Amino acid sequence: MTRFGMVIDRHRCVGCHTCANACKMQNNVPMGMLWNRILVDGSDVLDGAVGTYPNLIRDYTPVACQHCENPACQRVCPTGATYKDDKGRVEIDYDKCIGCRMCMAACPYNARSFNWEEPKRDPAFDYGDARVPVRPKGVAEKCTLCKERTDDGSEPMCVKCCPTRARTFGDLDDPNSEVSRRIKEKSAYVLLPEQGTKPQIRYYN
Amino acid sequence: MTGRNAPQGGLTRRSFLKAAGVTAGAVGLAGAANMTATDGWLAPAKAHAEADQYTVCTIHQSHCSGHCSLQCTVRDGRLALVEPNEAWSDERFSTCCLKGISEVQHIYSTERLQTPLKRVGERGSGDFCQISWDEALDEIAAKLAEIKAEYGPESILVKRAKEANYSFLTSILGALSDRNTGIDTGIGNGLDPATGIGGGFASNTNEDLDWVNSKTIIHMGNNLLESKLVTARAFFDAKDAGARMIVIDPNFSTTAGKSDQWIPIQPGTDAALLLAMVNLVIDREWHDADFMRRYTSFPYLVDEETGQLLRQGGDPEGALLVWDAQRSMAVPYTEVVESALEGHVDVEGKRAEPVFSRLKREVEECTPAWAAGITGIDPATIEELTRAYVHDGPASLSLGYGGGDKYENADIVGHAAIVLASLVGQIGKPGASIGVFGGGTGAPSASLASWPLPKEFSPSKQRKSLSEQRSTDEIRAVFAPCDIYLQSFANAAQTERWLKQLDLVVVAEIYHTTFVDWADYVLPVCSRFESEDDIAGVSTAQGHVRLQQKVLDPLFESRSDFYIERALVERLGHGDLLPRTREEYAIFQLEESKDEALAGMTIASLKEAGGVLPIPGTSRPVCLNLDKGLKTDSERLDVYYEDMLPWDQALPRYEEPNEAFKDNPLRDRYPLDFLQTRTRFHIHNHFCDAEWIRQFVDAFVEMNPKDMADRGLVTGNIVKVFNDRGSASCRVQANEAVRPGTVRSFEGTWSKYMDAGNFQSLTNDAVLPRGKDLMKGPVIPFNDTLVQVEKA
Amino acid sequence: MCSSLSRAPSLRFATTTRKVGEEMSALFKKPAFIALAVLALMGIGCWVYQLATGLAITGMSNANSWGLYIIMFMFFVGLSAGGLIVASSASVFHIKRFKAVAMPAVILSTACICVAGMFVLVDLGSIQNIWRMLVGPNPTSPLLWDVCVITLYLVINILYLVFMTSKKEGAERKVAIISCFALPTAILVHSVTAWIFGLQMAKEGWYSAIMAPIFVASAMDSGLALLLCVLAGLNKSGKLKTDKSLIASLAGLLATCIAVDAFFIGCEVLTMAYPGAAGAETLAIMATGPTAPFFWFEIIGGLVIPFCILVFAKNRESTTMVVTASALVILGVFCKRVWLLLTSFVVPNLEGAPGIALGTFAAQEGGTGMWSIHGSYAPTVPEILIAVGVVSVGAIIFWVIAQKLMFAEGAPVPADVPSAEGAPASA
Repeated sequence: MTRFGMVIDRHRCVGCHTCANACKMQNNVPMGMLWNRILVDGSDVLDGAVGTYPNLIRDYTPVACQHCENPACQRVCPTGATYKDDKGRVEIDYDKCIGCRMCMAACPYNARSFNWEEPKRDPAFDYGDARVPVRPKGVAEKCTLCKERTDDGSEPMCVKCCPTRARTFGDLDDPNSEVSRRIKEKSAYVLLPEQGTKPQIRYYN
Repeated sequence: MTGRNAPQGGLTRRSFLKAAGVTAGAVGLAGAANMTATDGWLAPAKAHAEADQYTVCTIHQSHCSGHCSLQCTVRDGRLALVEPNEAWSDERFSTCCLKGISEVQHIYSTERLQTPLKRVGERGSGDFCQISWDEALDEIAAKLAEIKAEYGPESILVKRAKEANYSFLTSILGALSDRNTGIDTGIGNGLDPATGIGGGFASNTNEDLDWVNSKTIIHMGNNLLESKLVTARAFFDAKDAGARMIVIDPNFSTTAGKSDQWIPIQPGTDAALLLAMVNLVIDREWHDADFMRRYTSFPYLVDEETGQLLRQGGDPEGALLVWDAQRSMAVPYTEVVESALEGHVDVEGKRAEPVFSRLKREVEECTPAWAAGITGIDPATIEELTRAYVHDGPASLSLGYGGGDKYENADIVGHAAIVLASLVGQIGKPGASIGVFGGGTGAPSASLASWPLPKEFSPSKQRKSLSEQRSTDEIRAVFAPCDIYLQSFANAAQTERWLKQLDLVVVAEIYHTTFVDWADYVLPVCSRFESEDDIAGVSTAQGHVRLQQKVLDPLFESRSDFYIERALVERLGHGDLLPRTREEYAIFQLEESKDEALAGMTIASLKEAGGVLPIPGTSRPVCLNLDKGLKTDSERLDVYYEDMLPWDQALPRYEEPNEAFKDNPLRDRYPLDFLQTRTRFHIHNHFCDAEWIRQFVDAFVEMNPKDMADRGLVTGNIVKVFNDRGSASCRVQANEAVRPGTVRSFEGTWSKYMDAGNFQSLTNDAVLPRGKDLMKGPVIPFNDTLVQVEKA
Repeated sequence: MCSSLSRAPSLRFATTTRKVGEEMSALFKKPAFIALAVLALMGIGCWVYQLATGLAITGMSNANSWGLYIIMFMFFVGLSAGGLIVASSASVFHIKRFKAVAMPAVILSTACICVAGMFVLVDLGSIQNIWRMLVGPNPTSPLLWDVCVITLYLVINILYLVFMTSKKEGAERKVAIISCFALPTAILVHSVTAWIFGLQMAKEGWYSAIMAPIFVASAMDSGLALLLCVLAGLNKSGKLKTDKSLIASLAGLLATCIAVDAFFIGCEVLTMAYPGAAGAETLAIMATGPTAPFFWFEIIGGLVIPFCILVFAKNRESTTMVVTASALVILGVFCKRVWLLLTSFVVPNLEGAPGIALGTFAAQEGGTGMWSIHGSYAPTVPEILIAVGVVSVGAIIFWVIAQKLMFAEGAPVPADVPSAEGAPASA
């Protein structure tokens, strides 16, 4: 079995938001939302630091869909619009989504965005990968682990564009894949382990 | 709980797109004359899977030092995807950052200039009417010719910009070309005369890929993890390879956060820290005497009375002398001897001492305790820092443009830095280097052919720095392909006075930047992605030759700089001297190059290779080899600057900043240091209007929460930052990362995004008297600025 | 002691369908009814606007993705309970006195559950895809269970009404049977609604085993309180005279429910607070944060005060006091729905700048305003109008059914009324 996943080196993450915009571009994500966000832990301002000058720390956490092995969003979806696909990704069938936002309430990571209105794009056309479906208003959307690219054997756009190469993508079921090796070597961890969602996006410092 | 806001009033993006052709607010044109260029991308995209799609490679901007080669996907005539080009010979150069990606939106920005404009209101009012290209070019050419005839060619300034260089126009007019901008040359002024490298920009002696060989790297006033995103890779690779990163910065920058140690410092006092390190090295006898004798001017004898270096036969052209201790005589430095580094000797009746002796005496008082009082760094930390630099080598000293470089005393920083490196030999070895790193400087390079012009066409020489000329009426006309209002000068009020008295101001720009409102004529330039010709240009960077290809036709009525320049030169009667097309120019530059490294390389082979080809012949990482000799007077590290003797700066001697010094009485009224830093979000003023960037950042200043509390401020307040020069208003936010007593802002923020004024209204434009004798003239001390902040 | 007033509606029955029609058209001309119709139409208009524009017209965002509609959904599911529980208790536990109010109770229950269902529908972003629930239901979704249970509950309510009004032989027995199903279904409907929230581990303030009991308890007290208010209203308008002692005993039951509700909430709050961990943080938001006014109103206004009123028998005799207490309970439970839903949206599990990209109208205009570190919510005017419209439709449903089944000359005789307390006494 293939079980796609990613491991993110948080030490290498410099909070540049390149992955956020790379994702936005690739996936034709409208204005006002992002599938991929970079949070400054415990700060209420951009690039803020925690502590008191000069005893400070600053950590960035890139957050997108965690492609959980035990996805809370998939469990609660009344129509099966959210599903775990054959490559271990959590995907959404937009045609089946009734827009109840049960998944958004269930996701511990706030990874999902809802199309509260007709998506507004700037520039006002469908940019990005032509293979990415265009979402209508009234459905939920989120990181697909660049389904269209990864189906083709490419890595997700956030991985490709990361200036510090903080992201490693691959098959978690293949013990020899780079992602598996790194997870093992670095004792990578998951976000919010107490939620029991078993994310396939891992992190190390 | 808060309610939602109604969508912003006024011109929404969508309505703009429907009525495309209207430039932003102030211009208020009814509509563009020629809509054909825009119709294509305005039409809704349907069924894009079957659409006409192609990919092509081009290069992105270079003045962030990124040099990214981008693979662009165009669908239905519109830019749909921007990705790092993977055709580089080394995967490490396959780069892109948020700015490159944001171009997908940015090239269609509402701030794009769409048609030529002519001023109708007062200069600076931003009131324009639309005119045709022919009208604009005819009128500009005529006025330039007129001004040239009346005031001479040096009365015309054709501003050079990193992204657009109207060198043909400059030469044809014989206009003033500003070689000395006073920007990014502060540290280089003091460092580069010793190395003969860097041309005043303190460029690194080894390339950044060599950091993996360093054990200790000190980053001083260099927030490269934000300002040079592409260099971030080299930073982490070095760290993974075991380099200990130490950052010296007033603010807890991103780079500080990712380093092993952050040493906070009082802004503007870097030179004091370096001099204390020099003092410690000498005091502890940590200096590398062999290295000093072999590669530096430390053994050269100095006339104790005059400070002049002694030369053989007293001849100004004679060889420099050193003291051969064994034979007790002065000999030319080129003789291999155990030259004395200390002591007083008599040479031909003159009392002399080696440079090192003089240095030792001069820095005697620069103790760590002394520096602690100035820099705010405790002596133990200074000692440990020095120890690490000397003993945990190889060590590199990485400097930056955004911090200490923007103070009046910046040359002393550069000078002290090279003195320190030369004392302990942390230069010219793998892992041991100094300078401002990043962006492939120091990488193998090759010379492209330059298009020949007849000898009579050459630019006028600049006699003063531009900043100084701004106080005179010597310049009558300005042709600028960039925002000189926000980017070239401090103290905007003075800039405005100067601009108002000019006879002609022409701006060739892609976007409606702050300076555009000061133009008499505005010429819309196309972005890097647009070109009239399939081949748009060729350039070298990162040890590669890179091809710039057409991704899109010019949008709106814009034209490329090349054709604007060509059209003007044509109207000045010399069109026949220039290449006819961008493609012809690119082919000439590459294929007519005399550089052997480029032999056999053609536009076709470059295209075939995917837009990038390595320059052959040099192994990387490139390291400076001191044995080959430097391009200095003695071909060594010439750390003693005779020409600075009149200023008492032959060796670095600490001076306080011009304004931002501790005991300045001005601090009673303006107690805060105002710092403009560089950011990952912008390249100077570029991308301020990019909506995908504006998702993350707007116009703001940051302060330490303590300073804000003292002033009753909370995050989100609109504040007025002010001093005697002017004021600027914008949002404030509290950030512990900001050093108490300072105000931090992002340089290049457009006036239209501020609530009032702009940051340049505040900045210090003092001209350093010794600046005229410095390599690149006086630096503009942008950060040497004191302000006060209050609720607007 | 027992007055015959409770039987009043059954005494005037004569059967002509024509008269029912006349009564109805008279009803349609009443100003109050017209007002309700106007409100309903306004709500429908706003809903059409919402369908055309999207849920962006509401105050919801990616940071606070459920709002007034879901609050009202929870609230009305709860309100519908009291009625059916009282009515079915009458049959199941043979509390004969309750049978007197069974009819209005069940009508109320029906109207409320319709309102609750409508709130789910107006909250959907893509209602056109709802058929997907039928063709591809996901059995693990609590929302799916809820839709099923609510539908079942509605069917039971309707059957209840049909059987109650049936003149056929054995109708009474059918009522008894249906009430045996109605009571557990009522409990289930609240439990399942609770599980929509209570099973979500992601939301600290929701994830609790006691959520279902709390919902049942709140349903009981708010439902009973609403029934009491309606009965008082009917009493006043002379439409349906209810025995004061019945009101008093229902009020006594209400006091008990309030106590149970308070006990459950107490358990929950203590469990949240005691470890001083994540739960305590959520509690802090509840007690001092943006949802604090709702929390404290519920505790004081919705539990303490009404309990203190109703605990005294003398107060239970006073309609004014009972109605006051009931109104407070209803408001209190509404407030509980507010704090229960919204508190858990305030602080995301992964907290940090810039926060959550909101995805709203304003956010799509670009700029840093698209972010919020914390969830915040306030309903918009169209959202409130839709909610008011839905409630108005519910009121119309109640009124029309009540008119048809209870007030109209010639309305069918409620099956169990004559049997209540034996044969009808002569007035």
